[in-house]
Amino acid sequence: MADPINDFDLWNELPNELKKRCISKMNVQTRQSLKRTCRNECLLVSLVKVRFTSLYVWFTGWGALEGYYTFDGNDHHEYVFTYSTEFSSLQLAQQIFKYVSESVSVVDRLHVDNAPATILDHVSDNSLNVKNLAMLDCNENSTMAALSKCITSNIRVFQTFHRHVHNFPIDLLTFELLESLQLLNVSNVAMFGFPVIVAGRWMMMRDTVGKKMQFATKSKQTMAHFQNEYHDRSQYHPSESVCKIGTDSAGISIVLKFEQELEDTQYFIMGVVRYDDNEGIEDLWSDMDALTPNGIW
Amino acid sequence: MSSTEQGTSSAAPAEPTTAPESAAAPEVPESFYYVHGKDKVVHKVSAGALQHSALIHGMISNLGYTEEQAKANPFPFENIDGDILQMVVDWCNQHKGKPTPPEDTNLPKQKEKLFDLVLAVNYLEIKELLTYCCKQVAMMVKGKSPEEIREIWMIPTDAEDEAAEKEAKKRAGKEAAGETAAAAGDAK
Repeated sequence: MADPINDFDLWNELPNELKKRCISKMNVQTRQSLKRTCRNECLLVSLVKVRFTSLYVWFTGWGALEGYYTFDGNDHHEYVFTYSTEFSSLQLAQQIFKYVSESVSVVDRLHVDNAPATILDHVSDNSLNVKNLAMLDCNENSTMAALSKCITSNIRVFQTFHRHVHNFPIDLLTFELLESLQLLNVSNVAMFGFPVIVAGRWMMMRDTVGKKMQFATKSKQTMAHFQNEYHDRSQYHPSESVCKIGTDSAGISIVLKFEQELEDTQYFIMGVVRYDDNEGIEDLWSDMDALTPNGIW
Repeated sequence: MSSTEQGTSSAAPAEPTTAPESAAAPEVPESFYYVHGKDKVVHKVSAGALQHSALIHGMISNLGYTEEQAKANPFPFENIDGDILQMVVDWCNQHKGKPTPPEDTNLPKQKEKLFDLVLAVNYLEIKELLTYCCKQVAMMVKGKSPEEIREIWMIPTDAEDEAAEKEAKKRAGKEAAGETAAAAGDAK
């Protein structure tokens, strides 16, 4: 007859500390499976939280999304979410975030692509403990309101806009964005690589909002334009370094970087951070530098 | 395995270190230590390779053995099977003075061996190897259902767990009763 006590000697041979170490190397699905094997494992799995180095979620269409993540100690992409059901994209995203938040301690970078604005409400409550949020083509006004919440929750936000020039001129896009940005109550703006006309629109925006904003740029041409156009020159700083902006006011800062990828394609990246010292803005800049044209780290 | 030898064989001459720290640095002969597992087979390991094990490194530092003393007194690891200790020694030799790669594909595929290796490596405090082993253990059940995991790792269900606990209690009770009866018999 089999000995009921000594029959189980593989996994149960390991002390809990070693079991936890092994669990820390497991992906989310395996953890969920292990949790359902018995009560002890369920308890143990819930004690070991995983740090997501990145979580990518694509809203591929109505009622469909897919995504993958990478986690601490594992560089491989783990594909988990491919749904195409009768649920809406938002319902699917809610399910995913709930599923992930059970296992995750921190999400270093959350990347959402083509997301509905309401999804950001679930990010801004920060149950996922997101540190950085990257968004591609989410430029509705309602998205901006949700973004504002994210920034006040100390989530650093990056947004990438990528357009064909002929279909969507960059200055028009920028103007729309500026209207939305009124909600963010911005203190400092740094612009890099923008055409003068676009920069000029930002100046107009400043006057419309009537808020004291500081501007910085390293383009001599843009700076000359600013200084000729506006009387209050103290607000415009020629700068080689991003950290020069906002030296005398903490608060919300925006860094904008404009690039031309191909002849007919332009994109720009916006980084927004709420900070109390200049190191925050310097980090923001270097992370923006690492963003690829497709808005992916 | 060149660095492993039976306890009865003669000691090999000390090999010079191969790590070229600096062209001008004089070559220092490498010192060797000896370890044995449950099977009493003695393995000769260089001090450089043993650096991986925090436990053995600590023992060496505290004991201050000379090479002769080390040979006469191999470190005994009675709780580790000979073949598992051999694997550990091989790994330490292979990774002597080298940066550890992100993955190690040479770990045993047999689950029993892997779990024994995890326990041994944890005991010997070899941090990098333990990380690989834990990763390998996790990979064994990647994408499996709860039932499959239970089968692969021999995890009892809650009902089986309770039955085993009951059985253990029963056995303990019987043993205690037996001991009491024996003690009473002795007293008579």
